[in-house]
Amino acid sequence: MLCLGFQLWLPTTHVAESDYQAVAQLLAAEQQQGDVVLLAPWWTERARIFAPEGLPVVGYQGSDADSLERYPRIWVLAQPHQPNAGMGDFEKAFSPSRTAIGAERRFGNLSLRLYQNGRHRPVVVDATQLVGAGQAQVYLESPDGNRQPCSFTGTAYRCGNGKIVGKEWHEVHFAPYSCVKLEAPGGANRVVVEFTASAADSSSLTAGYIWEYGAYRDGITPTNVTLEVNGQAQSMELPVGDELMHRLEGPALTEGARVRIFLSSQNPSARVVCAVMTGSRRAP
Amino acid sequence: MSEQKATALSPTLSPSGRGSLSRFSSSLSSLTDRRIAWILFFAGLLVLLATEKDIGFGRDESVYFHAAEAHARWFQLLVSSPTAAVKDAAIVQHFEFNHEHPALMKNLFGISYVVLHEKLGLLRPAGAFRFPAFVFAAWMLPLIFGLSRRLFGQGASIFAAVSFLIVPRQFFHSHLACFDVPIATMWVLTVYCFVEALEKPRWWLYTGLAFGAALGAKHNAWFIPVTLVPFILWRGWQLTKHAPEARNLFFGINGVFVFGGLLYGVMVAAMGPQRILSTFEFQSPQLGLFVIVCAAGAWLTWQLRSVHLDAFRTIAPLVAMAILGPIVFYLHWPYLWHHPVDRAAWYLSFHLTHNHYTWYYLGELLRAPPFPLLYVVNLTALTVPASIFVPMVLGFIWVFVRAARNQVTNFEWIVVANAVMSIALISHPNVPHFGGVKHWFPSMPFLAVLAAGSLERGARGLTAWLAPRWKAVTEPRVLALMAVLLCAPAVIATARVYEFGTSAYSEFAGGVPGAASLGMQRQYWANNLTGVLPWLNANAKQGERVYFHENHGGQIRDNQRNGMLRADLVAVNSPNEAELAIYQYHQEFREQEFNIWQVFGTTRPVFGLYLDETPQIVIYRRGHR
Repeated sequence: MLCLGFQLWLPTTHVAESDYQAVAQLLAAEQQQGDVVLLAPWWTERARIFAPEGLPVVGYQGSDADSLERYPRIWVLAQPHQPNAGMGDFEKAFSPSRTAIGAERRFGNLSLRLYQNGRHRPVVVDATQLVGAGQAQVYLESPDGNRQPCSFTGTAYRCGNGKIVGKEWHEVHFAPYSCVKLEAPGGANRVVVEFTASAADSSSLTAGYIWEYGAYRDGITPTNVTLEVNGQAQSMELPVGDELMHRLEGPALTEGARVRIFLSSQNPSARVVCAVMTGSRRAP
Repeated sequence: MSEQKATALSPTLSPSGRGSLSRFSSSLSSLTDRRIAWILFFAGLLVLLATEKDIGFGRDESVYFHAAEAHARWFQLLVSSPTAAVKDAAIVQHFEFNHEHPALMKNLFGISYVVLHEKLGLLRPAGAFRFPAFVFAAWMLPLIFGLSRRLFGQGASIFAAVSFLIVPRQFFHSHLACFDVPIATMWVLTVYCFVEALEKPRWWLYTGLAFGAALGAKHNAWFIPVTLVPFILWRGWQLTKHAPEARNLFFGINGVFVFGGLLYGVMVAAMGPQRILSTFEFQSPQLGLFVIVCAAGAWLTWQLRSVHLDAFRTIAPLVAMAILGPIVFYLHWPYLWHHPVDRAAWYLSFHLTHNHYTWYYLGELLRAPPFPLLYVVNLTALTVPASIFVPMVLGFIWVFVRAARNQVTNFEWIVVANAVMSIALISHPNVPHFGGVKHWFPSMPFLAVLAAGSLERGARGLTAWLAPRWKAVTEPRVLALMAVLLCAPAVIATARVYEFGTSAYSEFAGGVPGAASLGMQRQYWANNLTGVLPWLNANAKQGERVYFHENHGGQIRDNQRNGMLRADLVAVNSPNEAELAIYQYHQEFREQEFNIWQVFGTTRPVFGLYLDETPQIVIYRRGHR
């Protein structure tokens, strides 16, 4: 009888298209610059179809705990009635440092609530944007310091080894990142992204192997990723067989700071990395 | 079945030295049983035919369509020009493609296509290819019913049979021109023949032929003897305990095959596997040994027939399997005719060293062994409707309870052994774990039989409790009501998701959405494309270039030639060449979705198949904002 009840109840958890449209209208009317929509459960991505233009929608395995530090306000669009929705776990991961603004609004099986994001850190330096706009220098550097510039094609940098360095969407451990794609040139050579930064209270470099490359093992070597600010370098290793994003906290950035990001791996096979370097201010 | 009924039947066999093989005398012994069996078969066949057009083409199925058509052309050549057809060049031309699987089902698919589509025009191409698969899936029902009738009443046995087909994933796979349901049917058929052979003449021969056909369907069949040999040896030992001449023959038969196996072992040790293969010819010691062993084994078995009939009926099916299995396997597959050993060796080697495909399980991507030991059991629990899974588990446990009470029959052990075999095999951490549940389908019919026992015991217990209160309560009525209640959730689930069977999850998972939260594989084989084809046909521009992601060219071809996809649409190999991209939602492929975002300049889909709100197929249009 329980099974029968479940099968009869399950269709009642569906979301009517009119409810999604109502949510979309509300979001279009009330959204502010820098808002983001966070999905709960994370897989309810049908909402992407209806999201107003320009309003990012975040939903991936693990997005409950995403700090979403670029965004001052978060619209949580939830389907709490889904089986195994895990709203309790969502609350645990999401709630710290978040403050609800206003009441929850219901649209059929959809629940929408706006939050102030206490984990917000305004991004003032974004290597991905600079690379996408051609405002960085990209080159291959050999151990003797010899540099081979990569030319900007209008959308990305093409290097002498045929590899592309550019602003691209990529997956690292289920999550989408708009990041700088870098490929290790091999041996002691390294690919370098260099730019001049504005002042920021903190900096960080997050990097991980794209897609399944992290899982490769046979004949594969680890990758060294370095963040250098005004000549002071900090490095981290992306191990073989590791599919996660790794984060390195850098120093504060002074106005006009020279920032360089290096990537190298002895064996270049499958060493394709998605790197996000940002400089952030403290939240106001 | 009631205990009273069991004891009323005189045991004709004493395999355990204590009780009968089965609690009922024989399967399908009555006219009513045979009628029920036929009704089950035709009902199954009709349901599958009626729902055929809703089922999309899986990645492998389109490959088998192509191979089947090639096989069919060879059969046409065999009729028109037999001398040319039997030459290796002609055989290779038609059988080389997809020779990692034996030919039986593809032969049938191909012949069916030629007859039912090309000649008679009765079915669309896909329906014609699939028709033999429907026959095998429908045949499963009377086989389960027949096996179950050895233990349980008609009502419970009908439940057992029906319960196999209403499991959403099994119903889905029953439609496909693939091998997973046919091999399950042939596995059950072999066991069915074996059980019959213990009581009836000639069924030892059918057992050998059924095993050979199973070998011709899929490589799972090589494991069927594993479930039967221990039983045969033990029963043979028991039966010949007080018959010295029969005992000697029994030892002799076993000795011949064991000695033959040892000699092969010595050959491999002395010559090495490569030399064994390269010198394994028509006139070679290797083949000579096989012939001698088979001849000696068969002769001794025939001698046993006149000495001890029950012992003969016990071991003859195994001897028939050992001899007829390889012969049928060789004869059914023309690809082996000119190079039997090296091509058979390649085939076996292919499956022994099969790739591991990435698989999403409980939030992790399983890429390589060792895989979780409980994967198979967990996935079974999360995909078989709970109202059927629970009776299966209870029935399984009940056999051990009966064993503790010294009540269990050998037939029940055979059912348990076959229920466990495929699940145990795939559970090994180093065995490839892709493919959802289909790789252990041969276990499911036997679990269905065990579920029938749970239903019968439950009905009996409930009747005993209710009958004193209500006169209208009788055991058949209670059983029928319980069967309906147990089947109803599965029927509803199947009706809701059967076209997208690889996405189906049970109540224990929380259905499809619950499984998404658990982090389970969303789908596989890319057949869910059918869910967006009507939108695509209505909304794509004339001649538009479409990136179909996980669908290969064969699937696109089959969708177009079966009228499911507009013929003017052009499939391209990457989003870079496309205006529309159809992403098949898999966690292991998310990079491809984000690549579409990158190339199309948008993160907003235009349409999708969202099964119980879970993304399955997502369509993007270039530049859509």
